Parts: sequence; C-alpha cells; structure tokens
Amino acid sequence: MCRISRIMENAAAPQKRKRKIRAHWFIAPLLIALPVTVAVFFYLPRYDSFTAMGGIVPVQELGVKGSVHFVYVQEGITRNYYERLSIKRADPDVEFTQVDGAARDSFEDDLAYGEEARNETIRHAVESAADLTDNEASDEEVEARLATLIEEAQQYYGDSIGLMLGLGLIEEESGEDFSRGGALKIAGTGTLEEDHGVGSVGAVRDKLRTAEREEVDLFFVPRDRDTYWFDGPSNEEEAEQAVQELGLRLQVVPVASLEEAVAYLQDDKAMRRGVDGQW
Amino acid sequence: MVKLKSETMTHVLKMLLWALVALGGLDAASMIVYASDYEAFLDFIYPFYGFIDVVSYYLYFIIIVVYLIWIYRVHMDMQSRFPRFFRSPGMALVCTMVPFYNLYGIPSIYRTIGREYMNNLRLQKLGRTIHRLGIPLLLLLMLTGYTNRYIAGTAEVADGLLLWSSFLQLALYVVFLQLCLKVSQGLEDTTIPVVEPVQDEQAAPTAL
Repeated sequence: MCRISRIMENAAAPQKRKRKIRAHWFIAPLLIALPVTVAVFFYLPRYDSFTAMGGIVPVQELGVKGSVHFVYVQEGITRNYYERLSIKRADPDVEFTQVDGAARDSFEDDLAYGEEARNETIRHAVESAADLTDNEASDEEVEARLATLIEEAQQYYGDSIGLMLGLGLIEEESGEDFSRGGALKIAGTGTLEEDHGVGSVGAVRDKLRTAEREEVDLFFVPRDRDTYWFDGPSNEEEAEQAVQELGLRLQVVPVASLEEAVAYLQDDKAMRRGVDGQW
Repeated sequence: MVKLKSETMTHVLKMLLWALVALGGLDAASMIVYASDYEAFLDFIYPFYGFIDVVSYYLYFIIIVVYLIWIYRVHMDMQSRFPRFFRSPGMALVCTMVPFYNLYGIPSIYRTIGREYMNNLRLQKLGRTIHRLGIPLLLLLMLTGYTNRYIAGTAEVADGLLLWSSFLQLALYVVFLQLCLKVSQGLEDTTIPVVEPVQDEQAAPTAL
C-alpha cells in the first residue's frame, strides 16, 4: 500500500509541475514588464529647454588676482522625461519650457556661438581694464593674457562673464580689493562691450537665486531698461521682480558700464553700509 | 508530497532577483566607467543608464511586495514542515516591516530559519549559511539606505561614493538572492520523499 501510494504520487507529480512552471513563467515576466514599461515611457522623446541654478566662481579660478565672482547657471535641453526628472531632482525650482526636436540642434549652435561671444567679451574685459588702469602692457602681453584667460574659461559658455572679469582685472592691475578684505562677497552678470558698456544676458532670475544661495552681498546686473530689445522683461526689470517675489537679501546694483561698477565699488560710503549689513 | 505554499512565489522572487542582480551588475559597471572616464560614460553609457536606473528603481519596489508575500508563505511552510518552528507568518511580517524593531527582526528571521535547518542533519550546511547571512543583510540594508539618502540630498557627490554605493547595492541584491535560494532549497529538500531501501518483505515485516 505504501509503495503503491508513492507511485501514484510520483505519477501525479509531472502534471502538477507543468502547472507550476506556467504560473511563475507568466507572473515574473509580467512583473518585470511593469518597470520596463515605465522606463520606456520615461524614454519617449519629449524636448524641454531648462535653466536651473548653477554656482558662483571667484575670478581667481581663472588666474585673475581679484576678489569678485561671476555666476553661471545650468542651461540645456532635455530629451525625455527621465532627463527632465533628473534635472528636477537636482533643482526642484528648475523651469522647463517645452520645445520641439529642432531646438536641440539650435542649442548646439547657440553653444558654438556662446563660445565665440565668450572669447569676445574676455577680449573686451582685458582691453577695458587696461584702459581704465592705464596699463601699458605690450600687444604681445595682452594677447598672451587673453589666450590664458580663454583657456581657463573653456568650460563656460556665453558672454555674461565680461563685466565681472573686467572688475577682477582692474583689481589685479590696480591692486585694489573691492571686497574690503573679504568682508563683502561681490558677484554679478553682464557682457562687456568694446565701449566698456554692460550688455544684457539671459537667466538673470536663476543667477540671482544662485547668488543668494551662495550668500552674495552685492550683485551687479546690466542697467538695460531702456536698451533691452528682446521679448520679455529687461535684465534690470527681471532682477527687480526676482528680488520682490523671492524676497532676496542681496543688494542688486544695475550698472550701464564698467566705469559705473568701479565707481560704485570705490564709493566707501556705499560699501561701508554693505559691510555694516545696512543694505 | 504536499506542495509548498511558497513555491510559486519562490520562483517569481528568484527570477525578479536575478533580474535585479543583473541590473545591479550593469549599474556597478556603469559607475566604474563613470569614475574612471566621465567622457566615455557620457558618450556610451549615459543614453542607456537612465533606463537601467528606472527599471531597477521600480523593480526594487515590486520585489519588496513579492518578498513580503514570499516571507509570509515561507513561514507558513516552515510551520507545516518543522512542528517546533515558533515564528508565525504574521510575526515574520512584523519583524520585517516595523521600523526600529526590524533592526532586530530582519536578521532574526534568517537566524531562526537557519537554526531550524541546522537541527536537521540534511539541512545543516544550508542552515549555517542562512544563519550567517542575517547580519550582513541588515548591515547592507542600513548602509545602502544611508548612502542613498545622503546621495539624494547632496548636490555634488564624490565619484568614489557613487561607486561604493553601487557596489553595496549589488551586494545587497546578491545577499537577498542567496537567502531566497538557500531558504527555498531547504524547504524543497524537506519535500523530497525519503526513498527507503527495498527490502525483502519477510525481513521487514513492519513496513506496513
């Protein structure tokens, strides 16, 4: 009896096993298919342009003996939800604008243009600083300095570095310290033109947010309310809005030229108020 | 031979864990490239890395649910196969899910199963392995939880930390898979009928 029942059990076993195999071979792939489907969804093409907070960089990092900082922001095009989510995770306040696929190519073109514009504004910064400090460097020395600065700034795109680089070079050449011995953290944004004028830039709101996070005390923006010819608010207006809406603590100073920025920084009365925390 | 209640879930969990280990291996390999050659990572790996990342992330949560069902059913089987086994399926879930208590509970589950297997001559080796894996499992769970939270809350993470995090994650998946394999193997071994040597009926009159 014992053996017979065991034989019966063994005979029944293959049928049972067949059913078992079917069940788990069905359930497991289905469960694996769920995250794969989610991943496929995350990878569906969808293009968004974005700007997000970046960081502030002392001009010393470019080899300039100055105390001021320039600000960079993160800009780019995301190709799908995954990239969008990754950026959002790094900066929850990032702003996206949906664009079409062609925007990616035009962004690549912008990067190439941004490289040229950066080199040009560096040239203007070197020449403007030399003009304002009566630096009598030879053409070869100026070209050599220019080449070094362009090399050091390779990782940054765009021309918004101009104003702050100009201020840093003036500090270097005149031996002044605009930060009052490090008591003030000074940053800003704006291109520098051949006539020492400060030109408009993009992403002012994110640059201000970045500067506030990095505890900047004084921030220069282009004074461009009357000269801004793009769509939307000028840099000066955008900065005013951002200060109000975000309740920023830092002091925003609009300037139209390098001379105006230098004059502000050399005004001991105004700077003393900053050192005393009365801005 | 009575079918194990955990059998289907064991097969499902094994397959899911193998998939997770494979994804963990790809993630660790990607992190090695990331740490050693960032440009190569951007050019060749980044386009696919997100896919691995998303699948692993959601698969992990699916596995947690499957695991809870599995551990419940494993304890049902343990109680039916080992009459002296004291931990109820509900208590096993409490040990796994109740915060802070699970610091004791998770290793305790495997130490208890391991001890039970060690009492059985055929399962001693399996029992020792399961018993030993309880503490590493808890340590890996704590370490990966801590490093993941730290990485998520930090803007710039050192390459070395990302690499270590990836390896810890892979180690955790491997330990989970090992435990699943060993525990289920032990239960399957208890279902194999002991083949008695065929004896002369006269020599064994008490066989009936």
